[in-house]
Amino acid sequence: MNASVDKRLDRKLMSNLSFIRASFGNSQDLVIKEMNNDNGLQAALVYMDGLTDSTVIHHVILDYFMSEEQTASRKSGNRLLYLKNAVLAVGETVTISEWDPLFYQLLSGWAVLLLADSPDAICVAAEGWKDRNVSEPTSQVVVRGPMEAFTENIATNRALIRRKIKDPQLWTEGMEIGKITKTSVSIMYLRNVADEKIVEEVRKRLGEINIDGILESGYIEELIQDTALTPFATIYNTERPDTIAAGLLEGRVAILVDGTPFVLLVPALFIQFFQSAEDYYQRADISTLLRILRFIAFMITLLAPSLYIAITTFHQEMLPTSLLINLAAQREGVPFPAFIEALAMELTFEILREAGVRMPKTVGQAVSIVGTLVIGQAAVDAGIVSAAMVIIVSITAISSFVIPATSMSISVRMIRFVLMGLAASFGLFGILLGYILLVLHLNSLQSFGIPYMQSFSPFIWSNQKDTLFRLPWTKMRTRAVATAEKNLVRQRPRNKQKI
Amino acid sequence: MSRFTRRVGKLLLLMLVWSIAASAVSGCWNRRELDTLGIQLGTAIDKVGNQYRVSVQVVIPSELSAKAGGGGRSPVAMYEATAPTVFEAFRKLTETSSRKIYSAHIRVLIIGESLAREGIANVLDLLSRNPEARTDFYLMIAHDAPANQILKILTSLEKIPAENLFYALDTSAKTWAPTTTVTIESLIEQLVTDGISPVLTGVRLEGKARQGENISNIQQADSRTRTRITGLAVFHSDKLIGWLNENYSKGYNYIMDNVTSTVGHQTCPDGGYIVMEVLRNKTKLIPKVVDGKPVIKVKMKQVASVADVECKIDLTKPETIKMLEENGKQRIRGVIQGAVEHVQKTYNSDIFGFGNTFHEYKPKQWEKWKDDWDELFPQVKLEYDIELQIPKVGTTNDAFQNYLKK
Amino acid sequence: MQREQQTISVRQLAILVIFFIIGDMQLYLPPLTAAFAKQSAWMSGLIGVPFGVGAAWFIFRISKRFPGKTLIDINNQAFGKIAGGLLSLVFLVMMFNTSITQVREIADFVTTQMMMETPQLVICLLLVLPITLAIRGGITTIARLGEVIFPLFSALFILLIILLIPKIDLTQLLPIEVTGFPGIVKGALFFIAFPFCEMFAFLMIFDSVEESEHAARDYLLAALAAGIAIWVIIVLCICVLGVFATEHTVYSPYVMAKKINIGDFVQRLEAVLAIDYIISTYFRCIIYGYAFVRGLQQLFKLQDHRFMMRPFGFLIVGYAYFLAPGIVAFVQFDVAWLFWVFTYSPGLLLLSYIAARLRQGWSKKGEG
Repeated sequence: MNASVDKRLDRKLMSNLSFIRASFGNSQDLVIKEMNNDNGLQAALVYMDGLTDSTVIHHVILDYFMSEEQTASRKSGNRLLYLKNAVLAVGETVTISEWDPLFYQLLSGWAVLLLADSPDAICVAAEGWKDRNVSEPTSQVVVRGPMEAFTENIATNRALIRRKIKDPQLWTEGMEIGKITKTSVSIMYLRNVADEKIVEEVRKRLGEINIDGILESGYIEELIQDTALTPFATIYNTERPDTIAAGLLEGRVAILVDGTPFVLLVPALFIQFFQSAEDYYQRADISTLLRILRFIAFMITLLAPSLYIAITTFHQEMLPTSLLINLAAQREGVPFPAFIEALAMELTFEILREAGVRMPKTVGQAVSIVGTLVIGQAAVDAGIVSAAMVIIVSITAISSFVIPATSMSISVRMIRFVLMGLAASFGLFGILLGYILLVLHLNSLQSFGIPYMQSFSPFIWSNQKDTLFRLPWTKMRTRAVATAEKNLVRQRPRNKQKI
Repeated sequence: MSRFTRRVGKLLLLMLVWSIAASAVSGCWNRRELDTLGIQLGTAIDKVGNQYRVSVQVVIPSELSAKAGGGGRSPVAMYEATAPTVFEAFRKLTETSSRKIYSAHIRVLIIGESLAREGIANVLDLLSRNPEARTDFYLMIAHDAPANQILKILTSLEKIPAENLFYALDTSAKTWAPTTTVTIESLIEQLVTDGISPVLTGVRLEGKARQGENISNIQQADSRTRTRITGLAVFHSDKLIGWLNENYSKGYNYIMDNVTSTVGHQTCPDGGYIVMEVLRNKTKLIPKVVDGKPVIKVKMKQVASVADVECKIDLTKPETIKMLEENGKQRIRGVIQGAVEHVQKTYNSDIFGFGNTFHEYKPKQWEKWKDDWDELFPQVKLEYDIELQIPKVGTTNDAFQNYLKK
Repeated sequence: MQREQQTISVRQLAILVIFFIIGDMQLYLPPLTAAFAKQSAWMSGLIGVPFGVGAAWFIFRISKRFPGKTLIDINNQAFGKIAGGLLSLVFLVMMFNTSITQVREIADFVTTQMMMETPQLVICLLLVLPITLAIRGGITTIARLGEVIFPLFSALFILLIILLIPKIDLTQLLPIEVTGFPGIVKGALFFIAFPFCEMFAFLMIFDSVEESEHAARDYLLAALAAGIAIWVIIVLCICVLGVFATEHTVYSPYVMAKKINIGDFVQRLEAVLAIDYIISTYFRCIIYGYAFVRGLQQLFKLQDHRFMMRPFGFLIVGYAYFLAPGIVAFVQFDVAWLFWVFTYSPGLLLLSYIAARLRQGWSKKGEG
């Protein structure tokens, strides 16, 4: 078999069919329905079992074909055209005369109708496979707000976004990435808001991808990010259509990948990972408080264990006397240095967390009970760790889950260990150095040309309305600078009506 | 891609070198685990012959934790060492103690009377030079007892004797005029400033010393042996020269504006007492030169309230209040006058900082007097401008004693 | 890789100015001024702030007069390539020296107050990475770093001051003016020289600042605010600790911070001051370091400054170590350093300015 030699379809139906069979190696799910009449073989319908909608195949194509073929054959003129335009009562049909696109359509779930004595084939849109329904988001839960999440189907996902933004300016560009998987990827943006430079950059970077397969948007994320040398995500991902719609309204670009409910959003800023969709649905004051709370949680996750280590092993003079005596009493008999103790506990926690995620749901309960008992009770009773350390580890663990974006929460947990090491070697001085290095690093990051720490550095006053604080919607008249270079105004000042 | 790997490699190498350098050299300097520390809460320094005897009180944390509840052992341990210098003595403590003595949390420093009489400057230098030591502990002079003995007395309310002394002094300084708190920098500041001499609170032992060291001392509600904070030690330069009794101490604190709240009584016209609680007090010293002689005007404003009436007196009349105010003024004046005269005659040490007041407000005059202040101090005359208000009489107006059934 | 011209905003410049002026001064100035002016150190500060801001303004004027030019360019214009280059080299020596002095100061402080047994060398070694990485990133990185850290810095600073207010004893400021005027002026000289006159390092930065009509205003406000901040520290130090302790404690503001105690709960916050001190001194170090590295790059017409970072990093460790044998000798430099600073700024700077102006005038006449 050599596809490159026989690029085009043959006139003979038989040889076409055998070519298809040979190309697919007689795959089980390849169905070839031959339709004969008195004159012999007249036509064949080829489709992939499981990728096609059987209703369309049976009722629309086969029924009509079987009944109308006779009349059709009697007609003069282009039989193919007639079939295509008049007989097949399906939404979309394409005439194809080359093998490569034909195979692509076939594998995308289209049915291919081959006719005798015709070098062209009619491809009929008949995709239909078992899709997950639009369900509730699982990774980004809100109390108030839409309860729908993206699915694995890119068309559904596009529709979910379209349903939120009904504007022709919402442009979609599609492409296939992956030499083998031919995964369809769409970029969506609001043409009159998004910065053309960023859109162009996205196009360019996606175009440069040259990989055999894309199975999840994570592939794309790593392939187009600005730098790999960082623990921080510079591309935002979400399974919430409302978050994507909000991002599009701010002038960001969404990248949808077929086969995954996680849609990418660029450019991503540091602060974005601390914002939840719900912030915009709750009252402004509540949202502001929650954001500050998340920031505090972020600080606790980052610093609590290292500060504990630094203070208890280097700067005991900073503790109030009674607290010092209390901690010292707890540490009596603990065999490890505080750093090892903390490291062991944090590792244990990470293991438990990972186990909890990978575990079948039914076993999860058991693990959490064992974990609590092991960490909380037995270890302290046995005198292997001090109770204060358990408190520190637990508060760190819980705080790390407050950060809405998982990618950020994982980064923070990673950096925490570095800071713990610095704290164990140099106390507060080490933590301070680590902090300076961290900020230096964050400042060197960019997401699609936008500084990662934007709004803070460079400090943009007008962006403060929606960074750490969230002002009421009446005050948020403009979009964030830099992601939306043009069309900044979001709402006109309202006419104050006297009631 | 190769550039990328090279960059990663370089960065990793850099981090590696940095972290190895960091952790390899860090080793153990300055790292002290909590369970290797002997947390020192109290220190007593005595002079024995030519040597210093340092006694430190170290907490036994497990005896103090909420969970353990104490197994009937003493919550503190005392370590003592004697050496020619204080610092050597401190380090020598490790001969007997299993842990390094950690001094950042010291609450009280008790100096033996004999050491105080010889001068305390050397001791203070060590404490102010040591970066570890904090400055919020109180200094006291052991009165009529070796300093280490004071620290050994176990008390019931606070498990740690040093904490007991700290809080006892802290509370009494806030609510009882005759005591005052002195921290190390204020002491050093007073030692180096012209025209002021320091005082330190004294602490004395009541009961048998031996008994106080025993845990049985705190097994009864009324401990046989206790410590009592009382009186002020008067210094001249850094040497102790004498003591002030309770009344003189009160006068001292009035002048120094150390009184925030205290209690005082007056005699009623028909005998018996009426007790006043001082709510607010503010004293200001105004230096004056009258006929070329130093005069200090004591300007004082006090707000008091009637706390207890133990005599027949009609508190409903404004005249009575007026009279109480007048009497009160006289009393305060008497207390102050007594204290100043006593110090002028007996010790001739300017513990009231009169000289410093001149230095602050009349610097030119002070330049002239500076050198013969020791002769001038006993001649300082006092003027008074005392204002006493009694705006409140408590929750009852007239005392019920006035209506007692016969 | 050719580098594009880096720019920073006026806001970022103002923040850098504040960091630079407060720098190591929040710890060193109180004992220095108190040593000369005693309890009247606060008056030294009052005299020092306007003169200091004046000095800052003078440095800013120079850059305005020669827009887009750095100190190196001005020197070249003033005395020609060779003499100007030599003068620039003299300035660069000063920048290099001061930059690394800051590292030494941090190391001294940390090993005296926080971690006594740790060798100073290790502290210097640890500082190398953050310093070289920041300078390597250029002025944009430094400015952005400043912008992110500034809220933390100023919050801690203000917190410290508020918590110290209950401990203030104003009578410590009495008597007013007893050591006489000379002492106060001597104190004021320190106040002007170290924080403000040393700002000539900014002549290497001004050309990167974005055009703005507020530039002069914001710059001077920043200098004023920072001047007042140091003045407040001096006043607090004397009011809280007294003159003797302020003068005779090596790090008196640190001891002052130890005195914070609000209701026996908010206490032992000296770490706050330590953090603030290390941050601002670090910035002073990287601003000087950047000025030095950029100066070298311009002087020798180098394409890139980044290759210099490794040798510079090694020099930090070595030079900081050899700067002085110990803290006693180090403190001895103070008076000499004062005159050294004045030699450069306004001394040499004024010379260079006038010469450059004259030559500019000639060339204009020649054209006209």
